[in-house]
Amino acid sequence: MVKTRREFLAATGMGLVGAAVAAESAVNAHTDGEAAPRAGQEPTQAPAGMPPAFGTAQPAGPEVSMGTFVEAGKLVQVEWNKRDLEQAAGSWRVNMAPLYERRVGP
Amino acid sequence: MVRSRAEVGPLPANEEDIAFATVTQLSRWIETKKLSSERLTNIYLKRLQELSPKLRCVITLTREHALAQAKKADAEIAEGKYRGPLHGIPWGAKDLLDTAGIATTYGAEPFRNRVPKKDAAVVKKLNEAGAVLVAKLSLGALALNDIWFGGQTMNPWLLEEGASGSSAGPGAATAAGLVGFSIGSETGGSIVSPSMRCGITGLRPTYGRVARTGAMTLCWSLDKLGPMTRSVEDALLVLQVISGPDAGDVSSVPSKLDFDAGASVKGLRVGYFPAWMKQNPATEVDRAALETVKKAGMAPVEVTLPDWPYDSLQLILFAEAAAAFEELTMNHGVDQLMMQTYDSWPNLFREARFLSAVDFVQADRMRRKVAEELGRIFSEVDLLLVPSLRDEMLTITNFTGHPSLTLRAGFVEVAEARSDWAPDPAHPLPKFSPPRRVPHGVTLIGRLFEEGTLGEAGLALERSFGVAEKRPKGF
Repeated sequence: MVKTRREFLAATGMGLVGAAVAAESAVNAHTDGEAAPRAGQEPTQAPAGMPPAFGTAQPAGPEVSMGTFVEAGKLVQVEWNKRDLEQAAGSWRVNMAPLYERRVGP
Repeated sequence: MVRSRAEVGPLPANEEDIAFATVTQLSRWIETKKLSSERLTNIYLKRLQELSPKLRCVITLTREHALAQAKKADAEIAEGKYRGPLHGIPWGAKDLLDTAGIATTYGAEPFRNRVPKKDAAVVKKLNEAGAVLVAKLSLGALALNDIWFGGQTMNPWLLEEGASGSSAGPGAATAAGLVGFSIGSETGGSIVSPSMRCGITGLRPTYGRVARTGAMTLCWSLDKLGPMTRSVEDALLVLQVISGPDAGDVSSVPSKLDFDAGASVKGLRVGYFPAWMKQNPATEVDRAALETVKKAGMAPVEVTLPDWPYDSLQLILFAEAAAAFEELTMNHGVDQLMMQTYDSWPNLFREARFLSAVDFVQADRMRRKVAEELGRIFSEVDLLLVPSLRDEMLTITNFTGHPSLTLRAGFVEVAEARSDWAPDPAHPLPKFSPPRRVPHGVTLIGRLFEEGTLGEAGLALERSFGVAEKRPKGF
């Protein structure tokens, strides 16, 4: 059973702590240099008024690489340069892959 | 629509006190000729010139345009042709609203020199109401967060942190008393979040109430334009003027606004989610607000939502935004944007090319189910009280189109600056010892097109909270 982000949040009780931990985990999962998501801060209580932010979800889905995007780019007929491919490969799991959480939803 | 009849008091001797007055007050002074629009416009122009560099909240100052509008307003009022509460009131536009002959940049490098030929529908309505445009205000580039080509817009209450976005300039300028009111926009939190951060009132109208013709498109099915003000009543006064359909926006529809500043709120059923009130991002201020609801004679009602993956709806936002800026992405115009981090638009637009159409359709079907759920909740309550930045509710209500009203409810202490961006270890956020005191707001969610009820409840709460008049130091 996939552990959803909601369950993760319920377990921590603090959504934004979750976000910080998630970003840190993302870095651990992606070590391909500048394209990798930045590491999270210390997982302490987030200050009041910290808004939700893009790119702070728990990493989801399978590992991807620049090669994944090169091949997928053929399917949707786009070509990105090396820098763009690196950035996409390094952040897909925290930016877009969590959107597929719907598949375990209603 | 009934404006409050309370006595607004004499015109202050101090220009700073005039600048921080509400539209309700300013309009009474202008209507009774105790204050001219030209004088008020000059007060705001001077403050914008002197204070906006601290905040980086102005993209274009519209001095000559404003003075001409102010003189015209004074002449009309002198002739007995008073147009209503916004007549002669200076305002600022988020710089994604087209203004004829005045640069409209979207806060983004590729559009720095863009000068539209026509006014946006909202600008036209405000012109017709006699309002005075004094500034085009900053927004995070292409309506994301608070960094634009001129730098980061800062929070007047805490200059070491951003104002939040994407309606960053409207939030900062309104909070700092640099404009009478402002117009912002929201797709996924861009009115709520800067209103929270800057301690002002933000009204995100029902989707379709305010026509978006001439406003930058980020997401066709999500974008809303709304007032950002220093009081609840001001937000309703502005909303009344900007409401209404326009042929250029097929989603805009006729609507009415039933708001009476003197209406009783006793017996209104206010839904709340008990668990959310106990968890971050709720604070003691949120919990105290629930108590205030009771004291005001409204009835708190516990409500629930199914445990669904609401964040999945964001797939629609990313796909629509990427479609809106497809050309800019494909021709690499996005490379000109200052922010090139993995959580900023250029990368998100590129990644969105790989989202599937099937998942988009499924997300859209889920959106309908979520709307039905909210319909169920609103059959049990008249409005909801929620922690403003609870991400599920920000997402849900932006996708269902329900209106929200964010208002200052108290103050909290923060030991660290807040940011809209994902954490960056290379640029840690400033820490504060002792902690800093900043405003904190709560959000009311209303039924579709029932902004009037939101306003009446918000006004009652605003009076009970008693914190709306406090000002940031140094402004």
